[in-house]
Amino acid sequence: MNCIIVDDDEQIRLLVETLVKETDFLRLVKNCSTAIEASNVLLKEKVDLIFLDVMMPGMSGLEFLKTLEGNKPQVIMITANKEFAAEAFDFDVRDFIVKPITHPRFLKAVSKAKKIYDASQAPVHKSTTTSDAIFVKFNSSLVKISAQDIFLIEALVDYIAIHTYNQKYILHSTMKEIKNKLPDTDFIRVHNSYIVRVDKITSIEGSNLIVNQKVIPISRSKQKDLMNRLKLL
Amino acid sequence: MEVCNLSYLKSVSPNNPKFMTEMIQIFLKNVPVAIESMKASVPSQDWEMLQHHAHKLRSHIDCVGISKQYADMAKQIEENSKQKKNMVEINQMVMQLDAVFEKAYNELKSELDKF
Repeated sequence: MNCIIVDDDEQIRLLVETLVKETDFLRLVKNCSTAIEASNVLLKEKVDLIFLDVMMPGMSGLEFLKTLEGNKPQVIMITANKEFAAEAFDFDVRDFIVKPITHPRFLKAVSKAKKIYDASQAPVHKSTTTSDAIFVKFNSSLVKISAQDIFLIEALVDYIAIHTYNQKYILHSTMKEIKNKLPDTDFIRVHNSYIVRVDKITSIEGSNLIVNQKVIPISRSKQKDLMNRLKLL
Repeated sequence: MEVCNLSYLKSVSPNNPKFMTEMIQIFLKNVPVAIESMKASVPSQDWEMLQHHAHKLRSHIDCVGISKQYADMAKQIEENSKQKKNMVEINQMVMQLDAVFEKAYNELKSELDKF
C-alpha cells in the first residue's frame, strides 16, 4: 500500500516513518510537513493511505479531509487530543491513534486499513472486452453477448440457442461456427447438440452434467476431454 | 538518566541507533527554541504561540519519556491559552517546564555522545 505522512511535527514524522518502514506491506511515498504539500502529492501519485495529524498550522488535518474527494485514500488520524475523534469519524477515517503512538497500536490501525485495501483490490468482475464478447443478429438488431454470461449453447436443427442467465437467443447458425467465435479455454462441446461454459458447470452425475439447473447429456467420446478440463481432486 | 527514559523510543524501533539519535537530535534542536519562545510569549500575552508550542512539547515529553505530570502541565497550558486565561498559572508552569527541559537537554546531550 502506498502511503504518505502529513504532520508539521518533525519528530512525529520521523516516528511514523520509522514505523512505516518496519511494516512490510507499506511503502512511503512522501513525508509531508503541510497539508498543501500533501495535496500536491495526491495530484501526482497513487496514495492508498494517509497518516494525518489533526493540529497543524495553516490547514488543519480536519480541513484537509474536507478537500479530499472522489477516490479517497484511507485515513488514519494521529493526535494528542481525543476530543477530535468524534468529528474525525464523520469523515469516515479508518482509525484514530492518540499519541504516544505505540508499535502495537500502529499495527492494529494499519492492519484494519490493509484489510479494506485488500478487499478493494480483489478482482470484482473481469471487464468484458470485445474479444470475449460476440455480436449476434437478434430481432433485426446486433446484440452484444459477453462470453462470460453464456452458460450453454444448444443445437436446434438449423438454429442454435444461446443461453445466458438473463435471456435465450435463438439464431440461424451452426455449432461449429459459434464454437469458433468463443474462447476455446472457456467452452467445451460435450455433445453434438451442446456446448457448455466449463466454469458454469455445477456438477457431473454419470453421463450428465448440470449447468444452471439444466441436465445436459455428455457424449461418451467427449467424457475424457471434459474430465481433463476440470480441476479434479 | 533522571528525567528522561528512552524505553518508549526503543519500543518503537528496537536496535535502531540511527532512529534514536535522530529523535534525540530533533529534541535538542527544537525544544530550547520552543521554551524560549514560550517564555517570551508570557509578557507579550501571545496566547496562540503558547498554545502552539505547548501542544508540540507534549509529543516531545512523550517521546523522551519525561514524567507524565509535565505532559499534563503542557496540556493545561495548551487548554488555558486556547481560552486565553490564567496567565499567572501558565507562567509558573512554563518555568517548571523550562527547568525539567534543561535537565532533559543535558541528559540527552550526553546520551547522544554514547552513540
